[in-house]
Amino acid sequence: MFLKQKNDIKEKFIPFLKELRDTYGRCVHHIRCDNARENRTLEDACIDKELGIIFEYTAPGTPQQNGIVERAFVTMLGKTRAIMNEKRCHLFWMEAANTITHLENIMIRKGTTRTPYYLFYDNDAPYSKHLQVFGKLGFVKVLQPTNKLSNKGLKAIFVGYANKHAGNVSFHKSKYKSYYAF
Amino acid sequence: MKKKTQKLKKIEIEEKGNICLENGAKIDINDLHEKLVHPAEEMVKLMGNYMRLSIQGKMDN
Repeated sequence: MFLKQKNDIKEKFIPFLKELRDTYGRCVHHIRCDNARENRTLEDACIDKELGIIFEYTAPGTPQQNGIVERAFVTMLGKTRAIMNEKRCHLFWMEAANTITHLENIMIRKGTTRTPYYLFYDNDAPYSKHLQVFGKLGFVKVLQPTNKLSNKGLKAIFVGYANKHAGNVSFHKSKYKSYYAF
Repeated sequence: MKKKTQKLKKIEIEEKGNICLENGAKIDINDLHEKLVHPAEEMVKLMGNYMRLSIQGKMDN
């Protein structure tokens, strides 16, 4: 979930919580967060919507109390930086971070037998059988060609796995447009 | 001649075909390592076992 502004957290996070509750039957009971102002507004919004979530705040200036999340952020950003440097596409930082999050969800940990995705959704991720290398070149099918002799495919690069869509997301550089492709 | 081989190598690197990840498929450990965004060798092997792939080859250092 990416936000343009921190104030947008209310508009994005509450529908997500409702989706978790209604679609997947997963009720969030506690949220642990720091003392940022957007978290306070989110708590107020949760009280207004009667979601019944208890907010646990860390002590001011003590990120150590939220250590697991802080460590996960550093790991994710390190991996994001690595794949952006590898493919030299610094324009797609958001897509890179999204790809890393998708991959971390399907990666098995030491001492576990199931992936985090399986534990949450009770099935394996559909994209786990169609993994691609970030920044890989490919051709996207043109769905509405202008004439019979126009190109049937566009050269594009892979920029991530799609949410709520069967295909992967590819990006055509010259047209600055993203496409869903499989 | 040298230029030609360099060009061919570049094409080989850039235009690699999609590798099958179905159950029982054979896959080179370096390819899976790249697909999973460079985790440790142990993690790659764990993931290969979980995805029921037969991993081949050795990791490049």
